[in-house]
Amino acid sequence: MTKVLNLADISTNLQEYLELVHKMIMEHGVARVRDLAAKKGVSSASVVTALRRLQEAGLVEYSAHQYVKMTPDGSRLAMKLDQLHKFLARFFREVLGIEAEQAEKEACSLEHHLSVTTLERMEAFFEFLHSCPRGGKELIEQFHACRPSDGRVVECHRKNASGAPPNCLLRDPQTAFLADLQPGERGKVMQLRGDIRLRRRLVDLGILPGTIISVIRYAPLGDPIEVKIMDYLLTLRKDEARSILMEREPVAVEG
Amino acid sequence: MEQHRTKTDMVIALIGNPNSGKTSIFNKLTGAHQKVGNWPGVTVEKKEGRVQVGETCVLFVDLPGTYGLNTVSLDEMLARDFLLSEQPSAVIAVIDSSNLTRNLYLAVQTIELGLKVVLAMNMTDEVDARGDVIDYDQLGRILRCPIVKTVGHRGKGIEELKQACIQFVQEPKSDLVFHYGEPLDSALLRLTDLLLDLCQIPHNLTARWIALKLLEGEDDLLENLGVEGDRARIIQEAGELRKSLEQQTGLTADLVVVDRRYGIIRGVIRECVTLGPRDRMTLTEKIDNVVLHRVLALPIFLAMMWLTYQFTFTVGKPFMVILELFFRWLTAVVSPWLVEAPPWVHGFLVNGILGGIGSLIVFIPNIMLLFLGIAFLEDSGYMARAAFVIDRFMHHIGLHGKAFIPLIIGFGCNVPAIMATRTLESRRDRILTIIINPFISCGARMPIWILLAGAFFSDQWAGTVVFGVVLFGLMIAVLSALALNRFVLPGQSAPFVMELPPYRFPTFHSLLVRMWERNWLFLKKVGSVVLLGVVLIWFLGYFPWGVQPNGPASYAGRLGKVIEPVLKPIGIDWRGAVALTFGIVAKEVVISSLGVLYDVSDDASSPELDQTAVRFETKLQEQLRANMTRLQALSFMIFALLYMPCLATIGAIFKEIGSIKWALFALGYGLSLAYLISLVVYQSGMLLCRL
Repeated sequence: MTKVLNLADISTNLQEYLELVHKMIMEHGVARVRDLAAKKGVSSASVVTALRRLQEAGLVEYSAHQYVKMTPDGSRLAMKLDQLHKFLARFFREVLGIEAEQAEKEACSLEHHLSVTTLERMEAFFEFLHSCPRGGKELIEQFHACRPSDGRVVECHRKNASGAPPNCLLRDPQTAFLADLQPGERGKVMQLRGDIRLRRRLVDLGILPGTIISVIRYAPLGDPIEVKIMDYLLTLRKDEARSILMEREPVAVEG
Repeated sequence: MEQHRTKTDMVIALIGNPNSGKTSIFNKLTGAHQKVGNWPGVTVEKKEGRVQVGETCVLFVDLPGTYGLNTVSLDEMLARDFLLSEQPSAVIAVIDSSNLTRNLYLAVQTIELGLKVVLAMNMTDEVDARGDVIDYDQLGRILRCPIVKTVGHRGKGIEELKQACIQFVQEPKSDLVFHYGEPLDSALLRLTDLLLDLCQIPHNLTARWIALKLLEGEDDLLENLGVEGDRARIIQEAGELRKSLEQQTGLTADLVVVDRRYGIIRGVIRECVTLGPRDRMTLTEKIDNVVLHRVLALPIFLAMMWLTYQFTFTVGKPFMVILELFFRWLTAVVSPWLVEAPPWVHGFLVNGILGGIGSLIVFIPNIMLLFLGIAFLEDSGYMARAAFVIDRFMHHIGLHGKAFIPLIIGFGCNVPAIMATRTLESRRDRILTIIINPFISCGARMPIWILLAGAFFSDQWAGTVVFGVVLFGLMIAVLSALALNRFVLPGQSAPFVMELPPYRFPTFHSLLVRMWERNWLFLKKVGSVVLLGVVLIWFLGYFPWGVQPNGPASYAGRLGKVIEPVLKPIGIDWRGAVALTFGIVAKEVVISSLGVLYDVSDDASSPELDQTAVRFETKLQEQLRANMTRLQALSFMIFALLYMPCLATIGAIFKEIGSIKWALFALGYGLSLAYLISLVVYQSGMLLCRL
């Protein structure tokens, strides 16, 4: 028996069954043929057929009059499906700004029609938007701010310092995390990430968008780093410094 | 607290950033009249002092040093809860004037709570030296606060500060409201109105402050403060306002609030401060260029640790000897008086009580010196730098940079080492650091290794074995930290975001005060545990009545026989078991107790003390060789290293770890680890021998 390792190898119909079994086990602890049939609105016989095929693929364990069990491979795939489904709904909701209920419904119907490759690519794009230091997340927020109710996109009205619209999603050499600045470099805080506890702490210490930070030195073992803010010295670990997004400033030439 | 109120006319709290000199101002305000305790339920020091100012009896309360009044850290939570629930008559905000922006940030938040705030402008000498000019009158007018210039460590301005507080308390509350500008102000106004309409605002709070905190995203605030009314509606409205703020400004709402608050402060500073010419580099930065130099930093760090260690134990040694002699003398003096008394009274008083107190008191010089050393490191500003230098390494084993100090100190004595964990902020870090500390081989365990290694290994190897045992303890401590970090106490160690304060020369007075209060805390809390344990162990050794003390017929001896089967698999006989049981009192006892059990006389009162000691050791070593194998000795050493710290350390653990559950875990963990490792070593050794 060859092991199925990829979603693309199972039919849409079987994917739906797999998801349903997974969901039932998650919610009720067990999955029974009777309940599966009721839920799908089909006969027990067709459920059993589907289960046998899934069993052949090594995804579930099933024998007559027993609860249906998931194999580790099956759980993994079901979870992957679930994750893609949730992602799709989230993409509709957060990026396109579609109402939660509608987003959920359309994710359900679209999910099985798109290839896994496309779904994964979309997910990667979404992740990219969120992690792009040039403020991909901000871009989405701006899109919503500029999106009038009739659905027509108007021109973006928020300009950055140079007057050009923030149309770049690519890494700008001027942008870097505080952790990546070298001793002697200086920059302005653009964005704070990370969890709320850390952010509050940083903010209380005077680190907020617009604050100028100069990196003084790294500790002899390479971590943490020492920085100067306002008139005082602060140290933080690189882990923490990676939640501060900076805009590099050219090193000032004094004299 | 209620109890104090009856005797006290007013409560005045001190608040300020860490390193703002708050503690030295508190010390000067209260003089000798202070009481150190813990905040309820936590091991954060709480200091208060009652002082007569004119006709008024004032209770000054020193709040933990904080940067803000959010609920991020325990310290901040304690400070805020105190301000809200106790409603002090006035709050002294201690300001490091050389770092005005960040310090005023806390003061402004305190004013926003609706409390009467007196600003103590500290470290004004540093401002003057820098050439900055602060218009204090103007600052006071804008913030509507009395302003007092202080130099905390020299006691300047303290009387004025007291008077200003007393006077300010009489005056009506100021109705100062900070304006945050649009669009925040209208959001604030909307939420404030809604709060007033829908909720009952407790008398100690202002609706505006609650509204501000809600906009900052503290949704659980209403519930925590017990605000009655239509909470759900308010929270929903706050959420919507936050969202619209975020859309209008492109920043999250909490950032908008903080940004504007800093804006207000920058405005105030522009109006009150004229900056002098800035040096390229401050003195602190120049010192740091050496102390934190890429190559020099580690050697300097190690040298500082070595100095602290030497200071604690080498300087402490003569005092320790004097105290030991004193107790021996005291025993000699007391004994004749008790000739008439029944022997068990004699035994109880001399060996139990006097011995027990003695075993604790002899640590005092070390502990005092250590605390003096730590206070110096902290107050001078080096402690933060030490943490900076070594944090990378400590972070690998899941600990905070500052946890290095307890590790080093542990080689001298685990008791002060565990006390030194107080410098750690997060409770998790503290628990972890405490649990692994007893594995560090302290000075008192050294004689055991030396005696056993000397008995079972050639002179050539004995030293290496002793060193190996000590190193093994350190290794177990590090591995334990790694394992506990992984499996028992997962989770983030506190975010390592720490100020490097400017170097300052600490005053002797503040060092003494700090040393004394910590020392007193130690005596009070640890003492009771130790005394109890000492009496118990003494009882086991002397009863039933008439047996040879600590001999096989005593309860302890019988206990040894009972647990012998358990210790047999690791190669320890009943004598070893008894000696180790007594070792729980103090590790020094292990050797003398082995002496008693092997019937080697240890005549301490002999005039030729040194010779007797040598003879005693040689005789005991002979006996040990006759009764144990080399493998058994090794197993005994490993077990003795790990199984259980001495009573004083156990007392310190119970006191400092903050919960009985964790204290028991620490002890249980050590005991099972000791048994397991000895078992593996002994059994595999046996197996190898047979092959």
